[in-house]
Amino acid sequence: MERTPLDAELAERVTALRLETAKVVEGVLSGLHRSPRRGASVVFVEHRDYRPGDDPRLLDWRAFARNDRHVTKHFEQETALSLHVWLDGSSSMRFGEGPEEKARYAATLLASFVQLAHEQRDAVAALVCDDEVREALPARSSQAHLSAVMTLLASRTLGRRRTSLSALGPAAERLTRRGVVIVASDLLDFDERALEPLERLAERGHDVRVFQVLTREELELPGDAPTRFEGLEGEPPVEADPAQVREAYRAELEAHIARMRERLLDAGAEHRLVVTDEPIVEVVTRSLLERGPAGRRGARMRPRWA
Amino acid sequence: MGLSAPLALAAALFVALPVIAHLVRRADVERRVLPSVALLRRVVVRDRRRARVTEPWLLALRVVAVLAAALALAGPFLVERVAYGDGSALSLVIVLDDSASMARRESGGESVFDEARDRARAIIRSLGEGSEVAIVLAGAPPRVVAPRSTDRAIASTALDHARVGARRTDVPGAIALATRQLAGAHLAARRVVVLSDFAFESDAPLPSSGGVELEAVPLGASGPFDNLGIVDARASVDPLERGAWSVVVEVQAASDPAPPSVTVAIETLAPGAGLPAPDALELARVSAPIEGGRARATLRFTPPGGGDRVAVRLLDTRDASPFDDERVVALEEPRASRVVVVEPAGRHTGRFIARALAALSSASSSVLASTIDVDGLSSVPSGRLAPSDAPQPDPLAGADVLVLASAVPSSGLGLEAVRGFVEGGGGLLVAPSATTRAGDLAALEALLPARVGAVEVAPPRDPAEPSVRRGAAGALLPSGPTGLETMAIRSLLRLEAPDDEVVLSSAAGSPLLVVDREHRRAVLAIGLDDEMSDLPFRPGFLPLAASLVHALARPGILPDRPFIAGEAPSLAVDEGVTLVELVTPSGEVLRRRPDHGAVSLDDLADPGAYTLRAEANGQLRVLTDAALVLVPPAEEIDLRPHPPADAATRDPDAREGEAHHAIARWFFLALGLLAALEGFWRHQAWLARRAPWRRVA
Repeated sequence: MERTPLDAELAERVTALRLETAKVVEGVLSGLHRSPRRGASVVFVEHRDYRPGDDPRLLDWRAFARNDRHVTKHFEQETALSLHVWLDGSSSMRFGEGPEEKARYAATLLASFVQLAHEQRDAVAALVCDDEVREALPARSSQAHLSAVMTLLASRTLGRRRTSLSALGPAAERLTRRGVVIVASDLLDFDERALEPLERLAERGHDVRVFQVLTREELELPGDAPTRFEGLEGEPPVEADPAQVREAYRAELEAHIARMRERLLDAGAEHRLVVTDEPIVEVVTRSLLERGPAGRRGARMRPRWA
Repeated sequence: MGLSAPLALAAALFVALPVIAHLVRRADVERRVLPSVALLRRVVVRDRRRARVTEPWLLALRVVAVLAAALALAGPFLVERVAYGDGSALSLVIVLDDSASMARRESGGESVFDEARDRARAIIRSLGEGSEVAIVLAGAPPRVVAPRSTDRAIASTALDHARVGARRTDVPGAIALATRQLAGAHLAARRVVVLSDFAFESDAPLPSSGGVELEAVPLGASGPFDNLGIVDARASVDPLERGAWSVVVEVQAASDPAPPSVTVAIETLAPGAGLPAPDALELARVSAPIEGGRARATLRFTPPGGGDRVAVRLLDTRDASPFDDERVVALEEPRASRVVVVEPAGRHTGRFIARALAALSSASSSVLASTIDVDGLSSVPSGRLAPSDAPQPDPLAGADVLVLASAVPSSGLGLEAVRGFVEGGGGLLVAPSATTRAGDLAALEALLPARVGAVEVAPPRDPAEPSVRRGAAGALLPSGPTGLETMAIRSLLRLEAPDDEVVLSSAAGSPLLVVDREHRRAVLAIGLDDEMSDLPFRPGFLPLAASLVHALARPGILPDRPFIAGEAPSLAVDEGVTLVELVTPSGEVLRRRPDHGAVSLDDLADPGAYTLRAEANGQLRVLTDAALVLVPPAEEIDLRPHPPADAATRDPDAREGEAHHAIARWFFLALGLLAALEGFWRHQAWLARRAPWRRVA
């Protein structure tokens, strides 16, 4: 296990997260067909076992001749960017069953990117917040730091706090070096100033990617009996018949999503709506492959792993 | 329909509970977590009205369930009027009074008879399964119109055809008849129900017998009872004016107090027309004072066109029963009895009886007398019978009564003539003379109602004691002082006769007058002259002669006086008559075939004039020689109830009750069904809650 002292439940979560992340990363790399690291540097770092999907041109034929093993050569490169993953740890993210829980899904999604970044020796920083920043880890590229990041994402044990993206303001101001900021949140923050930190980051040249994670139930509001709906962040309950209000609710939700998307795109950030029943590997792959001109202002940076 | 515990309906107020619960939507509302509840709130706030009532069908189900429970607790029941007891099977005879008094109309316009018939129908409807029912009508004479049967349609049909007739009331007789109807009933419960207005005088308790329960149901007890009715109306030829008639009308006022007077009118009545007569022409009207509850009016009139009947009507009576306010009076001259008095040759032994009959003839035109000689049984008729001197080959032709006044035919021809006359239906009165010997009447003994002996000298008597006593058949004697009791008898013919045929007897018990009314034969022990007694000089001689003639006279084909229903004489018809048609006052034609030369009229009940037609030798002819008028009985004018003492103590509705059929079980079943529906509903909801999107916080 990791060096970070973990309790049994958290250890189990971390293990599960890493297993899931490994699968995702493996799938992502297999799906990309072409190694993004080809020709990145000339400084040899290490050999790794060949895995399907690796570029055959990276095979170390000499090592094969000596050891009769297929290994690939990896070279160290300069890292100018760092990856910042920000996880929404508010109570509203604790919705959904099992792997479709929004918090778990979001953590897995972010961990996948973290793993990918770590694979190419990028520094990774992590932050969990609700109505304030709960935990934050600075950008590092060591293995131990990776474990700490993974542990932080796996824990996601936060109180019943409201979503408040404005809490990211101070953290955003502290990001002086441009990098990639990936945010996973349900964006159920209806404050007009909620997106301002992300907008400012994007305007300062950061590659801001926002994954709005929602469940299918939130999107469709199923059910046909009068129901007392209760929020997770202390909102007063609402009694309604889903059959009667479904269409209006969908319209309201779509309007909210569109509003968020509009603002992010205007700021040059990327917005993706993710439903928790979608396979994460597809989400990550699609995010990497479709990463072209991010936002309406176009991509200002392209990480090497993208 | 009713409720055993109406206060339990207050439980229906609990219907407010599900209504409130559904309005506030707190009970049974599924709880779910939705992070985007803030968005949903915006929608709900906009659409609060539609979300006001939740699950309306479930609310309706629960409201109905609460109401069903409240109704079930209240114990609803259906009420069924049960005529008798608990509706178990019984043998029942319904005695329905169809006498004239039942025609009285109550304030609602319905007659008491209609009420009785409706009550009878209700009783029949409410009888238990397997019950037997019979219908007996209590108008005299009592009749069984529906024999005891489990088929109620028979009784119902009989009720449909029953109607009020001009009959007397014979409730006791009807009860006795009903009791006999129940004699063979196989059911243990036997009951007689009497539906009557009890407007008849009877001090005797209602008859009853063991095993039969009697129920008297007085009807129309609330009145009104004031009534005027025609007791009698007789027409006679007015001797002062040719073609004119006079009608004496007697009216009874059965009201308290009686009106001071009554107006009586005579109206024309066309043949075949019933009462009230349409297009009637008033011929006479008179107002008569009512004294002591009675009024007597005499109306003189000349009928136009020689009509044979008129209608007598009481005007402006406004009484309870119009049934007895009109009456038909036939304008028929009474049929005279034709008497032939036979005297010995050269002696006028029949002079007293002949003069008496002549006096009766001039007084009432009811007797036509003639005198003939015994030897030839032929003489010149006198009086109105034969105004001309034309020879009559048969002196007995057309005669009704033959009087042998001390004259006994000695020739075989004379005896044969007498025997033939008597056997042909003629009446015979034989009177001896002081010289009559025992053998003289031997030839006629077969025709006499008594065995005859010799003429004896009357024994001396005490002047202080009556010489004559009224016999068992003394009803034939005139009422009032007649002087017959002190009659002086010098000699008499010894007679031996049954006691019930003796009209007069001597103080010693020897029969003086024997009358066989069935065969219309009579024999007198003393003569009709003054040889054997002073009978001709007694005041009672004339009425006695009239009574004898009427008793011995050949009956007419039709009664010459009105009769009441149930008491009509048989209609004697000739042998050649094969069919008799009776046209009722309402125009209905009743066809009767004679039985042994007679047609029964007992079933006639509608008051009014009946026209008779007889078919003989293929020809139908109208019988016009007498009137056939049916009138209501005078006893039925008094409508005030006089129920028997034991019947008066009975509550008319005592046996009637209400059967309650509880229907709460239907509401309990409905309640269970509703509960099952809600259970099913909840099960479906539970299944739905297992859907992945449902999770309670």
